[in-house]
Amino acid sequence: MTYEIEMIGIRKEFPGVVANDNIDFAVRKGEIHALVGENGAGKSTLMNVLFGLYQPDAGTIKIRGEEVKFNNNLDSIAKGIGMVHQSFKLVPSFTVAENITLGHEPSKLGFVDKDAVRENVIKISKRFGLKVDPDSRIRDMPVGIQQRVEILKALYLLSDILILDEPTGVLTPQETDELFEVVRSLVATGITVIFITHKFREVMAISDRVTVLRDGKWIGTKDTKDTNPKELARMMVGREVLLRIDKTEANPKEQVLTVENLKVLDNRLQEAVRDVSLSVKAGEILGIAGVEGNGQRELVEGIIGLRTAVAGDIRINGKSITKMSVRQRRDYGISCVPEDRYVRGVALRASLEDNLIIENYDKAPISKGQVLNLKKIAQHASRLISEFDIRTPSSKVIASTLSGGNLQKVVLAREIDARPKLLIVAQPTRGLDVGSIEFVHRRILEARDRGAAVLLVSAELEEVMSLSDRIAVLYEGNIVGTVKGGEATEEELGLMMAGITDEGEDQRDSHSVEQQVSQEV
Amino acid sequence: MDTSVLVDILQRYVFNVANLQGMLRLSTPVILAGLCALITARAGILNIAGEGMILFGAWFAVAGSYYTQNSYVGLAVAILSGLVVGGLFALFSLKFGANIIVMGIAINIFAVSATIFMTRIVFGVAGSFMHPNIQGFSPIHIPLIKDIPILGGILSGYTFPVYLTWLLVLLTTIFLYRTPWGIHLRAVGESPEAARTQGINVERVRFLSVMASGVFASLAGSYLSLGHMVGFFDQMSAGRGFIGMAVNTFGGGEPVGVFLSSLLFGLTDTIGFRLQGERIIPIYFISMLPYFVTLIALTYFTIRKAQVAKAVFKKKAAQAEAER
Amino acid sequence: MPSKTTKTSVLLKSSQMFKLILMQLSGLFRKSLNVIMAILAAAVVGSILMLIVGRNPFVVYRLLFQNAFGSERALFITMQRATPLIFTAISSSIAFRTGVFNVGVEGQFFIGAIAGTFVGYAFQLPMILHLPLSLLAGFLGGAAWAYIPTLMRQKLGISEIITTIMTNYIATFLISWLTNYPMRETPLVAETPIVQNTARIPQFVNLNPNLAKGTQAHLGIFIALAVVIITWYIFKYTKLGYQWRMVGLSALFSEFGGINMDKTFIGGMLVSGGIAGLGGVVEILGVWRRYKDLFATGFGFKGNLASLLGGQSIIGSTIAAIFYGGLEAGALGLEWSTGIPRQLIDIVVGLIIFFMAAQGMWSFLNKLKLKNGKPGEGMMAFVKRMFTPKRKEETL
Repeated sequence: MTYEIEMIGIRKEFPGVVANDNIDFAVRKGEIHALVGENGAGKSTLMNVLFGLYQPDAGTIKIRGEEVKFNNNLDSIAKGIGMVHQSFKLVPSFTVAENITLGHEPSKLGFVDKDAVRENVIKISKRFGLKVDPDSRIRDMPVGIQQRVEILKALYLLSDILILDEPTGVLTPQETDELFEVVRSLVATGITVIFITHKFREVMAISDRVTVLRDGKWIGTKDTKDTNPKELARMMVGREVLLRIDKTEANPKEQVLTVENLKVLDNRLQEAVRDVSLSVKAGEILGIAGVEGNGQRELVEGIIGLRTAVAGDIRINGKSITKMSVRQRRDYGISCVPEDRYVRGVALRASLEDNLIIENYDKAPISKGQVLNLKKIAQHASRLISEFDIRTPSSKVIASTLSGGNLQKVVLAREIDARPKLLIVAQPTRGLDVGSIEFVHRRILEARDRGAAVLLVSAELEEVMSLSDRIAVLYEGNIVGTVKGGEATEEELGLMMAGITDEGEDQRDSHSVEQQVSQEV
Repeated sequence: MDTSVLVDILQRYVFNVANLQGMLRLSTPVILAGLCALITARAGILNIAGEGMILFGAWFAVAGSYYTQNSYVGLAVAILSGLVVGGLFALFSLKFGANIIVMGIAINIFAVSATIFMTRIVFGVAGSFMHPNIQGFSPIHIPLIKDIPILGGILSGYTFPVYLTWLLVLLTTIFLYRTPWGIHLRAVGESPEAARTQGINVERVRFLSVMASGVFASLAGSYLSLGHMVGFFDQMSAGRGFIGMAVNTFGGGEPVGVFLSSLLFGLTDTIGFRLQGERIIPIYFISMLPYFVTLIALTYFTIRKAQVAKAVFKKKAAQAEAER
Repeated sequence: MPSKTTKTSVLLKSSQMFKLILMQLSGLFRKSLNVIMAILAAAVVGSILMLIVGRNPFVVYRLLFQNAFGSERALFITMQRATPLIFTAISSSIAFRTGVFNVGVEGQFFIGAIAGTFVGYAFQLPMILHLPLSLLAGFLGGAAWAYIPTLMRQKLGISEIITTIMTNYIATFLISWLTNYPMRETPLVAETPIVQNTARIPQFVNLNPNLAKGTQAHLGIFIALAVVIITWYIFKYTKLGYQWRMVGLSALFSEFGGINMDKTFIGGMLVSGGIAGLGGVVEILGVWRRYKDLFATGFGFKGNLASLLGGQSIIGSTIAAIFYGGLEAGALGLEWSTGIPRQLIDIVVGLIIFFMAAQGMWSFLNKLKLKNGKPGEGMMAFVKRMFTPKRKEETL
């Protein structure tokens, strides 16, 4: 039979990595085909090849049986391929209609025909039953609607093959369900959908067939009804997956971090953290779960002092640090593994030595008075390099030459070596391979067992569940519930992440949460 | 000081035909420099080479006019030079990966030396080059408008580049908001990824925008050397390229905004000339004015912006409070 | 036995050290290779310019070299021209390295010069106090002038690029006013009184009439070299230098690491301005001995360029400043003997910067050659590709 899309023997190399290695991938007309794999497995690269953004080093692509060669995405658009990227590609100040027609504006005598722009958009939104207001501006819209605009953008270009790149990452469970409805109705009109994800629940819920990639290689393609999450997990990781790490019972001691009624603004001066109270004890891990963008970043930056608190109080061992600078807080015993590793975590153009002393460059023995001790700096670096198994030719090389996993080790080494009272880790394993993930998890547990209070923020629910002793769920800048680590189920947490709690929807009263916290401890 | 004195001062230094005409005239190169900054800024490029490009424009306008004794040929030569210089600038910074600010600094310094060098080699003089063969632009009196009592004096009697500049303000606005190319330019500036995935060639749009900025700059230069004065003087751009960047910032990146804020600079220049004539203040302080005003204006507008943002935030906070 | 193990470990260590040194050297070589390539390319374009003007480039370059480094006198002239450029190049480098584009070195240089001149002529003091005090005034003058844009960026977030340029122009007019009105000595010329003997930096000819005959080279070069050594030491060996470097390499990382961004930024900018101002006063006290209105321009901008040329490192920009000074001395002699305008040198240096800044150009042209098989087709393909859609791999 003829496939709608056939990719045969695709190979794509980047300096130092083979992102796609001889991959075969075929999609039938009118199906929902899930493409799964861990971060870095080559899903996005393969789809960017299909979308014409990358040119493959080897291999052929056939669309409806016809061999094609895409030099850029205009070529693939012409063949009816549309892609909705993970991070939306929309112009914030443009209207919905302007965004949908961008690059393909109907024009009269060289001028844009504004009426035609609107009418076309209204027409297409009616045809596919995707309601949008053509005149409202993107910057004023919620994420779910923005995604709808992205899908319309692809449909406007007469796409009948739609690539959705991790479309649910930014959505709440409800929005995800809505998206599924939309996808099903699109398929009913004859459109073919490729659905990229790494969540098994979604694969099982929506796809007809599923293809698994690992380390840039094709592992297998299955009918969804013939497979199960466990099998998929094994294919994805290459071995039986331990969903839980072995860890000893926590042995919580005195309360280290206390946050009371914290309010923090984001870059647009919106309240990202509305009214958060929480506490972490020495020797325990408090996990913060939640859909990304619910105030996690601002919460972390508020505690380490990169953002000032508009209201509320932060205390370490009972002493308020709310007014302290970042340096004072660090000296007071806070360390942090930040979520943007490449931006905040390291200086890519600086040497490893320089990267490793930002925490203690102003303390003996690294410096004395104003003068740095270069010898001690080199010793410090080589000690951490061996202790944390950082793979590097030398401590003098600049950080950008290291792989992502090794860079994360650099950050961990520096922050854990400071022997903090409070260790904050934000998205600690994002984009890392399995080996590195285990390493990072082990180090975090070690820090806990040594007596540090650990605040773990992660968008990976599994990570939060397997590491945390207690789990607090952040929703729209509030903590909507706190549960014990071992007792929480995925369903329970999922509901809370959507803002639904036992006491009614959208719980805002965080004082009761505070009570909950104190009761549990 | 009572109000009549104030009115007198205003009349004397601002609201009379000669002053207003001077203001419109003197704001012309600033508007063009502002458009030069605008067209690149809207495409997401920080272009500080305007100053150097103006200087080249001024030189080539003089050269063109000197050899053909025709100011319009001079203008055409200047535009050509603007395309070439803009093209080279774009080539090095967008294609060869040079840091655009470093490139900008280099072009600005290069322009000063290169024009002095060329003046000496080509015309054999140092410092300034004036010659009867250089034809400047002559004033054009628009038939009907010139006869309107007061307005006629303000709106008519300018040289060709002045009218061209007004037209360009209008055309740039239409270009940005009504043509596909303009919309693509704005999309590239605000969200290059969005533009790219829609099949817009981001590199080409940016390349062309830098070339367009070269044209605007060369127009500013030719107005300086064939309209404002007739002849070439070392460093005659006198910082207008940078004032253009400031004007674009005040103007909020809108051509009309650029026009209006340029008038402010035209006005200070005019008042400067008046004060200089009356010998109240040493000339140096008057020459300093545009740069000083730029600093003050930048400060003022930034504080204003912050205040507005704060006010909006407070309003939103109050709303949220009320909802609860 | 133990001695053997230590021996192997020492051997191992030294071989590692050797590897490291090789790595560093090859890095240095690659960096300088870029500069050398750029200089060669600029020399070629310069030759074409000279041919157009009808000069033999070989003769011109030989004369240029002779007048720059060819005799003792030439060397002293080079030294004199290089002295202020070392200050402004170091000043620019400090700013660059802390992540700031200080385009205001020019203004800070002249404000420092006028401030030092004032202290130099207005007071009667013993030399041991007078000279240092004048130098200090220059430093403070430059720093104060740099403080205006610093404040505007730190408090309001206004880009220092526009503001430093504006303050340059304001400085020029302010000084013109000062030298024409309050500080003017005679009605004939716009210049200040001459500085006291006690505030002058001795010239080499003052020390020994046979040394540096007919040149104005002065001991200020030692102040310049002292500044070089001190800043180099600060960058490499002190906490302050670490903070400056890190902020320049990654502001977001430094902020996360708890470095006080405001303090570092202000400090870097003030020291940068101060060194520019110090350069200004040294130039006056060593060469001119009084401030003549508009006695020269461009020291600051040339310093910006020298710093870029030297890769923004302290040692590199010092070498570049001396190189630039040599070119200037050579061009000066060239103008005297052949009538070729000395601006030729600024053009050549500008060209070097263009070629250097465009590091991507070589690989860009190289790639084209490889793709098309024949070298000759490279340029055509390059012109063709300029306006055809570019591949997106690097950016996505």
